[in-house]
Amino acid sequence: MKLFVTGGSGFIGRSVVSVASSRGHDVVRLVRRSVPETGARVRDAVGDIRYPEPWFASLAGADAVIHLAAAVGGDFHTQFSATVLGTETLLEAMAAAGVRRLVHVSSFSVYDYRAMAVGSTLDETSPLEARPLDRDAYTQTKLAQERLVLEFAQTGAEVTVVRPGAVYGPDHLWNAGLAIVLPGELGVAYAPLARQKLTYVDNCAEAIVLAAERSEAIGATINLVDDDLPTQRGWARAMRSAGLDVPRAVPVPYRVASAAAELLAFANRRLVGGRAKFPGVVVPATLDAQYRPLRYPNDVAKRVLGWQPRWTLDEALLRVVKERR
Amino acid sequence: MSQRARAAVVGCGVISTEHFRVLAQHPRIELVGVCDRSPAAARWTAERYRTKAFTDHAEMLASVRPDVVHVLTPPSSHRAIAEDALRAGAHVIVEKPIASSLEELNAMFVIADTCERYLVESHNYRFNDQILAIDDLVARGVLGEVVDVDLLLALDIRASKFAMADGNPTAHLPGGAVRDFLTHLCYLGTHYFGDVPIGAVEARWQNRSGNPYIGADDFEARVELGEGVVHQRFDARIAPDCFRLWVRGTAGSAETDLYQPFLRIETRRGPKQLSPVVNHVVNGSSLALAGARNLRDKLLQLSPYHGLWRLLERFYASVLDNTPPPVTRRDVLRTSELVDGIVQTASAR
Repeated sequence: MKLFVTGGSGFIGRSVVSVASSRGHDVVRLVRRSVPETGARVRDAVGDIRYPEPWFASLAGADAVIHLAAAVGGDFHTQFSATVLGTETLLEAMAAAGVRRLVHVSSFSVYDYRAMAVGSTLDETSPLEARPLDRDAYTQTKLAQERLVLEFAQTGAEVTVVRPGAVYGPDHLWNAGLAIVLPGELGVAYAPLARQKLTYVDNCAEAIVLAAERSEAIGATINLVDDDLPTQRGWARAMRSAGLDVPRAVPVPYRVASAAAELLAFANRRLVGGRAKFPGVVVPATLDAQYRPLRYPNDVAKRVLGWQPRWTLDEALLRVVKERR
Repeated sequence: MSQRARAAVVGCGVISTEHFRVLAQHPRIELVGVCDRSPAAARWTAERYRTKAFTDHAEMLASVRPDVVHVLTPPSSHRAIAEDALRAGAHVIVEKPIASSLEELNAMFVIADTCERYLVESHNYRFNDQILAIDDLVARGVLGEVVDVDLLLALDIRASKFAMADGNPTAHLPGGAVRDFLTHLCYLGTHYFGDVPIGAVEARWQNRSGNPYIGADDFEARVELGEGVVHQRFDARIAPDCFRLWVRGTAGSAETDLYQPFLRIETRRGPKQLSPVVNHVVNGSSLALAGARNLRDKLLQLSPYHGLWRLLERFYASVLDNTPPPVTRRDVLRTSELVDGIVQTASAR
């Protein structure tokens, strides 16, 4: 297949490009600046996804687009511009080029965590966030982005929406899940007994490429997490065993953290009409999205994609350590 | 006019958020439409603020018949959109820089006159608490006759949108990124000198960073205004970011920062020998209080844009009550005249 990959030089994108080319696909990466690490089956289209020229022409003849480009930081408008306006431009380009197959990489952040009881199961049928303004800019823009993609599907396009959990790899060890480090190097580890919705970047990348390859995935929404998900405490222990640094942290049970955040939100509403802005870890909606203890099955990904996470947690962490050396 | 003004916004980018903070909750304003070239941006904004979305400003003007239009698009489109809005019978407020030249601005005012509508440029910082406090000191004569205004804007734009291809809305204008801030430096610079003519202008700008997308990232100007002098500087290297203003007069001086607000006043307090000590004690206390106040404001999301919110409230009051706008035509023209003078001088070097 000829695959056009947006965000191809990003954290997940690099792995997707590597997996795709090793599986015999020709890959065109949309990148802001060309970098010399491309393989024999990989070439670069240099451009900014928010603006049409000159990369539109590189879409010609693509069998599918894997859309990873999105902003993960910055203020709302920075994220809206890269994530939503970029997607809007991409979909226009795809329509103009007659490319109808899209694998859109969304996020677990689009779910409504407050709508789910503690201990319940979050799967592809779980509700999407009903009050996005209570959440951060990332969630707001990923929801708006997914909406554009679903509208594109309604025009007859062949769309798969993939929602990875917390993706970890050499430079991304999901530190927020481990501990919120306070000044003085001491951290707070929220919800030590909650399962972490982890997926190792190479496992995740393989599933994303499979989604482009398999016709069964057309029209499907697929959550991506690995097998045998550890608790927060287990995740920290596994990382220590692999020789990775884990900040010292005081464990704070989810119920305690949640009650404290609710109390702060109540005081905010009562005292200053809700105008005060606090860090996400003490905002109920954001805290729940990150730490509410839930179960995360991956049977849809396995059934639809024929996917099996190639590396276990311990194996993946050993690979991480090796790559970081 | 009815008791509520019908407002419409063209351009749903970064600065629109600050305009919507007023438009979405002011009892005398009804937000009737938003427009952006991006359908996704227009829709998101319309849903966020419960109004109608448009992707064509002419269609919006015809459809919702606004009383006031906010033009918040990149500068190159200001004139066309503002003139369409004026012709559609709306008062218009435009983000800075309102026009690419004084000549273009004069042409826009001709349309405003023909249509009998206000045309205003957003001189937002003029309405910040600290500037109003200095205005009061000047009005009461505490500083005596103002003879020197000194402005320093330090902002590291080298890692911002200005440093990216197509990210800089003023990339096509002489001065590049500096041009985006020059309006602020000019309306604050001329503000304390009355109607005296603009005299000799010395100005230079340069690109220190080497980033081709920024244009200029370093700027300095000296402007004579009657018997007074205005110094303006923009520097991307100085840390931390600041927007410092000194107003010096024959009886005292005042200093403030618009990003981390405080107000330091030095005047003759008490006997001559004790005056410096009294000034230090008074200003030290004031500085400590400013620290606490800034922390509170940060928590409550009261940003340096509070001057814009105040300007908009006053602008709408002028529209509804048929009184002069808070930023007069003279203010806008004089600012534009100085901007033109600086641009010509710096470009000629």
